Amino acid sequence: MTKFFTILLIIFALVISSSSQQNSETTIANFVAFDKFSGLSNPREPKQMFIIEVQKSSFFQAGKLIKVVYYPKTDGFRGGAKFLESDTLNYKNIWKMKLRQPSEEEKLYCEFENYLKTSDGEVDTDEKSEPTLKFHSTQIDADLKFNNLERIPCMILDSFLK
Amino acid sequence: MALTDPTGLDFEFLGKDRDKFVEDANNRDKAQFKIKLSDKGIVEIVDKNKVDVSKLSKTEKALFDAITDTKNRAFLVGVEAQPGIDFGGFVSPYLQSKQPGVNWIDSSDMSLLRDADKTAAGEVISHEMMEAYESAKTGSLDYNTVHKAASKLFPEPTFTETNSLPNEKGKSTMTGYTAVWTWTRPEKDISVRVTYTFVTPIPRASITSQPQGNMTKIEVVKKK
Repeated sequence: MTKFFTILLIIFALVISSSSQQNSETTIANFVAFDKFSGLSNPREPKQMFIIEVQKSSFFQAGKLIKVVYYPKTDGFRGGAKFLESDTLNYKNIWKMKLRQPSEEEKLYCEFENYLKTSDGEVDTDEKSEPTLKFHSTQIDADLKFNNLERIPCMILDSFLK
Repeated sequence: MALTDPTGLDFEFLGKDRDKFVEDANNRDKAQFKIKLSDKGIVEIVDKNKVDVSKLSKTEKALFDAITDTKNRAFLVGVEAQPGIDFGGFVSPYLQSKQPGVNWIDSSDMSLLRDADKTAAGEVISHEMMEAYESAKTGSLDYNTVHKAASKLFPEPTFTETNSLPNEKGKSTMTGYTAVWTWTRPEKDISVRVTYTFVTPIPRASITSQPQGNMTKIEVVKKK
């Protein structure tokens, strides 16, 4: 019986150790594109959506694109969110990012779309009658469309450092 | 603005529509006791002696304890439509209050939500009460801390389907947008589509921050 509990404890310790290692994993990456319409997210719990490109990681191949959800600090009021701005998001900047898997509830926010839609389900268009793309490049002044967006893995960005 | 505690009691509702906020709180999901306001706006528990505290759920017990905690005073203040507040706000920059324990309720938003779904309105007011109480109890003025604590009891709804207005396709500016708020519940979720109208129309190409706007329509979304 004691042996059984010892084995159980060892398994438990291994799981904890493996979980904390995964939590502390750093991915070196840069921002490729940002969702121009993140400002329309819930002011009480704002979110910002990005596409990043992996430079170095234990989990992802270099060059791999990842969808990322980030929670900016806020005071809960409209206009109070501290969204990441273009000088931070510039493609030239390489960041050490703390990424983690989304929780069950957070998976809802991993459903990225290329186009802004209207509330009746149609694709929105701009003044040139072009479909309104959501993602804007961090390299050039242009909007981007990503192929197979739904197949790109999604992570939560907890923090990042130079 | 200074809010003092003249009675030593625990929750006070002030301002516009304070009586309606009491009704809202009583419509919260799985309520196990009712509240009422005294003439001075102090929250009291109806038939307090008949409430069997040992049988309250974790959430109801936390709300009961907050209301009966005589050491800390929290306030809900009803205000007219505020373009910076979605339902409720903590420590208002508008009224320059830095006093812990004060939440501001946009009575216009609440009126629209109440008409659409009373339970959702109850969840919002209960969340705002616990946010204000957490701040009063701890002295914290950090929104993220008190919001997280309140959300453990009355969770923040999800916010999805951020869409443009159909009649603004092809235009260079947006006057508003819609989004769906969903309160997740074990039996059946409550979803409402909120239409926002911006204070000033904004160029479609440059939404760099959160535009100020008011809720102007709320309708229930029937999901499959």
